[in-house]
Amino acid sequence: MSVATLGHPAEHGHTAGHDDSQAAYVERTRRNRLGMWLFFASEAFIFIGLLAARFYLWVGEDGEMMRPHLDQVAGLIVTVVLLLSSYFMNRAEVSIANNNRRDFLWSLVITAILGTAFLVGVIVFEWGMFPSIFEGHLKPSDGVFGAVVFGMTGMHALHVLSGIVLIGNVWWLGRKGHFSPERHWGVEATAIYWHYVDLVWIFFYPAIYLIGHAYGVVH
Amino acid sequence: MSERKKPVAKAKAKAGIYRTGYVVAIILAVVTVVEFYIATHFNSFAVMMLLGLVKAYFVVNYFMHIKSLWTEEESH
Repeated sequence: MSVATLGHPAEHGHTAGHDDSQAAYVERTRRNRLGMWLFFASEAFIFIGLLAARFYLWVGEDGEMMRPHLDQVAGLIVTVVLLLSSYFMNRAEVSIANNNRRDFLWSLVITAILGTAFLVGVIVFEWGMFPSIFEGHLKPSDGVFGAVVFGMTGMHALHVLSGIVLIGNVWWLGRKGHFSPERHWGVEATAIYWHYVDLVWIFFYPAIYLIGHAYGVVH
Repeated sequence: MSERKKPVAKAKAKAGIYRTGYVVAIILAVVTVVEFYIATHFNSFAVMMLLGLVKAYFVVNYFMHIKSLWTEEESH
């Protein structure tokens, strides 16, 4: 899979038995890019399935759309944090494409920090995993509301976590000079993966927090 | 170009390459605020989905460069 080519020797010019010309690299990158998007299409089935479950299950007695009562401030803050992380991920990609290595590395660090902040926000302030810090609104066992919220945010959080790992890997390789303005597929792959995670949240956030009448779940 | 003007030109060039990124980020932030306001005052499913699609367009087009799938581009 195309993500596995992160830090591939071809990225920094020495290979064994490969056609290492720029034209060959461009062609490989085009195929890798298609592979990434096919991966995104397959992942979309998971997330669309979760969205379908949300809209099917969260229906009131009169057929009106419902949602559980959640912390709106926490939801808005984590959303803004994730959007900001997308900006810095884009900045990292643009920086390496323009040979601005210092900005590239710092932008990656900031993206990872913001991604971690998002995770902490969800785990602490939405899941309520540490009740001594913050009492969450729902448990996974709270019927259809709890199951769907934890299913959606849990699946999304797994992708955020893997994205942070990828960013760390790219940062580490970037420090060692593995990428160049002409060859940085690993950076592009990580960047579009991160933006995909943000894209999913663009639809998950209103589905979980904004659409429908709020319903206070009784524990 | 004179030596005095080079740092200014360099700074302008640097700002220029990041312009798309921060313009898109601002648009996403504004749409998110609008989304939150409409949700808390009007509660319209159709408007929520429409705003989501607007945000998705900017992310997919400008951050994810989906056009690079079918256009001839410089290498990465």
